[in-house]
Amino acid sequence: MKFNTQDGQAFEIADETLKYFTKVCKTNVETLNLTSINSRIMKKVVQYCEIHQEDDIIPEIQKPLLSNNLYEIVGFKDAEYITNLEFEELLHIIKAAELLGINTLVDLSCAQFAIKIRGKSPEQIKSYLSSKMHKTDEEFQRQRDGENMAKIQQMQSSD
Amino acid sequence: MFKNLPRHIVLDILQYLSIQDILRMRRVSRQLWMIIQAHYQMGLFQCGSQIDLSKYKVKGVMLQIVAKDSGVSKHKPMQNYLMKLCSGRIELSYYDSAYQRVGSDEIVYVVQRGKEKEIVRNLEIVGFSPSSISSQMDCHQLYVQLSKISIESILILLIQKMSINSSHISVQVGPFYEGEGAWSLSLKALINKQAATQQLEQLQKQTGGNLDTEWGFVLALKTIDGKAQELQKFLNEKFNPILEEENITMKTHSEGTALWLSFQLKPEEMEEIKEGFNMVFAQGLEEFAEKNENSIQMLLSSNTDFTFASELLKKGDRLMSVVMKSLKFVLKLDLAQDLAQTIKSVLENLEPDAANEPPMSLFLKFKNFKVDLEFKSSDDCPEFIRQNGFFGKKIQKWIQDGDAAIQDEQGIAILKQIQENLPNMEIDFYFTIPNFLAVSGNAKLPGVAQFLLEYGNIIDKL
Repeated sequence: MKFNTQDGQAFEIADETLKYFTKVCKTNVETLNLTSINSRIMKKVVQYCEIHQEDDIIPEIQKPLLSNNLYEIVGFKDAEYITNLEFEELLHIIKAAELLGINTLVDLSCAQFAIKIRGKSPEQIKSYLSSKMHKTDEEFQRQRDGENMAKIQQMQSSD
Repeated sequence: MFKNLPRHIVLDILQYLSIQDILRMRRVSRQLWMIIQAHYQMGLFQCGSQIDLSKYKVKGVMLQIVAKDSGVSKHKPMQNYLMKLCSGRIELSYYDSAYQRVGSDEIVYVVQRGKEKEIVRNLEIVGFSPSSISSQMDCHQLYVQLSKISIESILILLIQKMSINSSHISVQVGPFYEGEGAWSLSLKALINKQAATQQLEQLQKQTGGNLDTEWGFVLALKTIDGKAQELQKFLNEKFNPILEEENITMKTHSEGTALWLSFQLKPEEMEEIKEGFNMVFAQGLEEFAEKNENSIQMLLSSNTDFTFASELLKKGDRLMSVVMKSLKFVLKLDLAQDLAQTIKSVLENLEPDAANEPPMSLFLKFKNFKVDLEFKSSDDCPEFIRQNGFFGKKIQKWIQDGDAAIQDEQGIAILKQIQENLPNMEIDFYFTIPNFLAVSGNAKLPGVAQFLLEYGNIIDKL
């Protein structure tokens, strides 16, 4: 089966790999245009399926996580595959895996995502995510409160 | 970034996290927290292990409670709920939807909506970390203070805790005082400079300038049996010299049946208290700023104690309202527990054996914002007195053996004198830090002194 990514690159996926693409593997479509997945992410997705080509079953990941060390939670090759990925990359992989129905990859990516925020303070999580996060209502509120406080201080000093 | 993920993926990620981590998400993004709340269909509350006090170290609970619809009727089921839960009368299995022990002294309970139909359906209970508050008062600090204990320092200890609690706290103590030994406070917390000044001016005027009201705390003891002058004389003669040794000035003023006492604290102690308040305010403000105007309005309007805050709100000074509201919230809900723990720690420290012996085992039950401290079985207590004596076994033996020194006899006399009067007293108190805070309240504390006298070995610390 052939997949065309957002940036125009084509990926030929063999049947052994395609078995993980649960949403498309049983269709008769020969070519699929993936308008929301770029080639870099698609490569990672395909890589995941390839490393599991020989596997009959991929064990479910325990919930909630009991360790921050992914190597203690999943198999070595999965841990090798997913660690060191940035948040943004994880996010795209989750979306791609979700779109293609690669459920075990969704789980693995979610687990890695959770590891990155597990035990972290809200401030740390915010700073991790801040590059892509829009300003929250809370932040707007804090900003407004800050402005009000400044006004009050100004009024008090003028008194 | 969560915003870019489908809802079910967000929830998928959350499944890998512990309850504590999930709770923390409420500070990451409001939208995320809304997803969590909606999905889990639950009210959450996190508590510092009040369920079984014998197993855990109690640090106090911080609850943030938001009634989804207005009306005071919701407070009652909430009170009952917490009372039952905290006194252990509700089996955990009843709330077994999920509960998780986190660390050695912290428990997070997840209560599924619908399980306790009348309560959680209309209430949203959200817990947050008590670390910033509880760290102010660890046991070590408490015991350090107790090493130089006196009646005054017990009072200060209690007042320090108490004064930053708002609304109603009732403490019931002792075997004979159940039902009548209520210590209820109704505080008006004023963090407004003008209001604090007015309060002080009024107090100065009322007491004819005989008291130190610049800073410190002032108690007005209203005796109903006309022993004010007698007690004043006694305290001036016997109690004041002890206080002076600790560089604390006590001044008195009597007027009819009322006896006023002012205690002037050392400036550095006052600074410590200020810092404590600042921490509370900072925490409360941060928490409360998340809430919208409507919820503030609703909660303020449901609390008659905070008329001052309501007035501020009417004037449109939202920030001040938020501060007031934060004050109410944090103080009312969190430090009431702290007060209870303080009292418990004081008592246990005074008579450790007594607290552990079966007929005397103390337990605390938290009635929402009310704190009750009582003996497990009041029927057993007269028997305990018969066996152990009026002052407790240790002190009784100590007195019988003739080991009591003059100073200790004075201590006993002071306690007896207070004991004779306090059970019939009503107290107005004012706690002031100029230009910063004034807290006033009213307390009925029959039985507290007698309780301390009977079961505490505080005399040998005097």
